[in-house]
Amino acid sequence: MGVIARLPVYWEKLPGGGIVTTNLEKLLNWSRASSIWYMIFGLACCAIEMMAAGASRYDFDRFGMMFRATPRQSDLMFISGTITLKMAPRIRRLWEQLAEPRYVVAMGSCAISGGGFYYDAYSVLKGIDKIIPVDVYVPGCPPRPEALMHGCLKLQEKIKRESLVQAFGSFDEEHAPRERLEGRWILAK
Amino acid sequence: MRFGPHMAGLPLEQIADKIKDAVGDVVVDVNEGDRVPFLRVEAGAVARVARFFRDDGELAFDFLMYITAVDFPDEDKLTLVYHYFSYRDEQSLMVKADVPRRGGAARSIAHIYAAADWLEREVYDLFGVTFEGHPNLTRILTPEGFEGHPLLKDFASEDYVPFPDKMPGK
Repeated sequence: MGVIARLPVYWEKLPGGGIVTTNLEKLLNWSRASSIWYMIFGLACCAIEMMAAGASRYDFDRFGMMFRATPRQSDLMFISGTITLKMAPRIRRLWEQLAEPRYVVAMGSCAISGGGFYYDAYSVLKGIDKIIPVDVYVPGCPPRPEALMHGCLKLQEKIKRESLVQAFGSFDEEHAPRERLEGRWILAK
Repeated sequence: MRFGPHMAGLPLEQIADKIKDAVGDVVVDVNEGDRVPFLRVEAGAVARVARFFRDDGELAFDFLMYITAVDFPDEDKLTLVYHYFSYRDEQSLMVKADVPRRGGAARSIAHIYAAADWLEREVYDLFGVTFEGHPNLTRILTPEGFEGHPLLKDFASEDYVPFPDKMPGK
């Protein structure tokens, strides 16, 4: 498979035209995987690499990935940088505002585990997966745009493997990562 | 920006004398410092000194660069540091004042230098010094409901997770 996502189809040639057949799940997954819109949302230095990936040199547009300025129109959220405890509830709220099906890419050491520099700080969350579920982890400090791109291709593969029930079924509150959410001041509203 | 003896404004001793004339005998120490000269004043006088600095035509310190503090647990004191700058003379001057480590307080200068509003909130947040007369003395950097003042040297937090001992190369 090339870089551009292809839809598995059967093309029956008829005189004067043809009929394309595929199945609904594949069609939907193909269209979702080929139009991952991500939220304009940067946290720290990783966001610079994310911007580079989105700009013309690395060109995320060719995967159908575009910035959206609102979580309501976005499918994907890059957690691009250090998550401070002050920012964490805001991130959680933004994630809750994303329309389902929604995906999260944890970009860089800080988003994955608290990071090399800030791990032993009083003000930093030790990994975004403590408050929201993560689909793809992209290691690096910061990861290069190529690495981020690789992560996004992995996400496309993941989306294409999903069943419709998985993708559009409601979010499983019970199994959501809420370690930090309960009884803690972090989500005090 | 010029520091030290090359600065264009008044010599440090002369500034100290002017403060003594205008504000009273509040200057504890006059120090040329390593890079930036500083005056140490009594904690109760920081606001009066600030007003004098701003309003005096000869000094004209029109810019408050920052306010911060330094923690000295051994001497059981916090030192407030006010850094003034004069655009006219390109002169920089530091004013220091010692307050107790716990329950330290000073007069707010937010009504004299507007920049002091957020700076004092920051010092309050990170060091726990209260500023009397501040319009909105709430935490500015740490999250809502945060407990403790993180830049104090004896600060402890359950969110502080030290690195594992057996790190490669450690």
